[in-house]
Amino acid sequence: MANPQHEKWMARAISMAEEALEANEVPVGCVFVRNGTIIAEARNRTNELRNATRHAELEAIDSILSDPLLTPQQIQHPLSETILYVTVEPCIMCASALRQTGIKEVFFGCENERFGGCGSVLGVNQELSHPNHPSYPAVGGYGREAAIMLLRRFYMTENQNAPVPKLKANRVLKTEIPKQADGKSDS
Amino acid sequence: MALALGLGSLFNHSDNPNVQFSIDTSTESIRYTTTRRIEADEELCIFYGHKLWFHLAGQPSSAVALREKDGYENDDSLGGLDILQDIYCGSNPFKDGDPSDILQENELPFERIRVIPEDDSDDIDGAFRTILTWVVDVPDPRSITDLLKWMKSAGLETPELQHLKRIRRVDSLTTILLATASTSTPHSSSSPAPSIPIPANFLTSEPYTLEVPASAALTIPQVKAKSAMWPTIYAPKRKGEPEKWTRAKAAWAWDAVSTMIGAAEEAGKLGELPIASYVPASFVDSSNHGEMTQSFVAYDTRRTSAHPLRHSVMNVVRKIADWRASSSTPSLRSPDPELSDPTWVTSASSQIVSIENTLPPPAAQRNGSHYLLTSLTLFTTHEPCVMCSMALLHSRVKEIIVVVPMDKTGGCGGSSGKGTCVPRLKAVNHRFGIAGWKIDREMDGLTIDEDVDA
Ligand SMILES: [Zn+2]
Ligand SMILES: [Zn+2]
Repeated sequence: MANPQHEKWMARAISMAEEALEANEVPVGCVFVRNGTIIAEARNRTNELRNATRHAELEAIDSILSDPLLTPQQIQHPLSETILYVTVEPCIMCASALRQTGIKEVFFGCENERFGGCGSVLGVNQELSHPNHPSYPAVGGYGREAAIMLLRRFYMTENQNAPVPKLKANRVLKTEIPKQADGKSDS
Repeated sequence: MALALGLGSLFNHSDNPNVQFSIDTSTESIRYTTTRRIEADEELCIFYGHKLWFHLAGQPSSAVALREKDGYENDDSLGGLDILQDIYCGSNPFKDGDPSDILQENELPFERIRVIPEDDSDDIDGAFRTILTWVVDVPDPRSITDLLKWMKSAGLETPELQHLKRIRRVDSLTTILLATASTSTPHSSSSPAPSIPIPANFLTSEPYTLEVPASAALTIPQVKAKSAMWPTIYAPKRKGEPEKWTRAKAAWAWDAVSTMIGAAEEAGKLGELPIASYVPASFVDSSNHGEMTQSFVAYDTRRTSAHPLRHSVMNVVRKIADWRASSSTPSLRSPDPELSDPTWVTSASSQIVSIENTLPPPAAQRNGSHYLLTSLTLFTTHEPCVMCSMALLHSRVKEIIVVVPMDKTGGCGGSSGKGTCVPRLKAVNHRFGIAGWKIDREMDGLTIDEDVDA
């Protein structure tokens, strides 16, 4: 079930993360895709807006929901036909926001070990039961190294222009989607 | 029954006011402050509010000016909802007696839920959690300094290893900690994260993986146990004693809850879900100087804004952010760590920063700005959902006081305190206090479906 589209969408998400880095924001970027088309792309704006909740995902969701062409009527789960590509595993807040808006599926780059809401810290996407909102699969490893390198560059506070060490190319972009249900049960 | 008579009635209304006001119930006064530089001969104006409403019979008699537009798409020049609360609050039971009395736990109008991190299981039987890291052996001690310099420039001084020393010496062998290697999430394979290629001019071993303690040592026995694995920082917990509340502060909380419930009931009448959150101006007394001089209230607007995420917590956080961004007043006092951190946060963990999003850039840190809700108390009618609970954690709220628990959807422990509890998760970098309001009156106006995310 290899899908060359994943690489393309994730490359776009990474370029949004790069834009965040240039703006001195934590480099996280995302794109939302519906019917094979990007309907929103966004990046982290927490510093610009002085609001620690303005993550890339919420920025993009706001733009989708405010566009009457994309969201013509109020329904409970407006993102049920929409897929998210994001450079870092959504945090617990965003993972819950995505579930409440009914996201179909999430592909992410690297894990978020401190705040990850798709399994790293809390399984908001599936494990957690909810009376109304369907669970959704979230799969990591797409553009993982590029995502990590961007984060490392951000935290390199001493010398912003120092050369970035290259990671060994011992990992290639995963194109195979692991079976979510299997991966869950062993944790 | 009074609405800003006296000095307040001298101000005219403006949609773009240059004076803001806040109520200080402890001194029964209204504080007026200018919001921008006032030119000579410029008239001072306040925002009266679009609409007044009054509590119905059986409620504390109070009046609140609510701004009509509560959605945050609106231009909001004042940046926050001003509360004009009646300074007569006859039914507040904490108005009688010595305001400086320290109240016993059972006299408080709320019950505190201690947020004990899962991490504390470390203490019990000497076992502790570990993480996988990349390390290298450095046979030639002369290259250690250069290697550390290189690590710094390569951005390897990441916060997740702050609880460990970088260098371990065993006999004559020096080993240096490079980076975390754990990727143990349910989605990824168990193979370690990519290693760090060391420049060839450093004479080191090939990097290899090693298990090290996942968190700082909290006790002396833990220092020994953990450091046997890898030298670990000692970060003893401060005493976990709950903060003392005076009668005057309990009165402040009582008024805050009254105001908030009023706002929620008003939202219900407007066709919204009757859910509201309120961040009042900080309580001020001899030991608290007041981090925040402005009050902010917001209610749930998911219905009228056709946006399922417009929860009251997100709305109030947004209002405070907008106010902070637009306010030219020096509202961003650097926080007093004693006031701003819940007592059960270890000094080590409060320095831990995230890989995502809550970290301001170094420049902002140097400017002395701090997180949005640091040192502030948030009152909310319904237990925040998982999204809102994490939003509060990202914003570093000090504590929240909740009226109605939401066992099916809440993210702060539910009525038993044992449900999903975001600030209790072991990985997160901030803990906030949670207290449940002791319900003391009719709450019919706050009824929502138990399946709703508040
Ligand atoms: Zn997020
Ligand atoms: Zn919520």
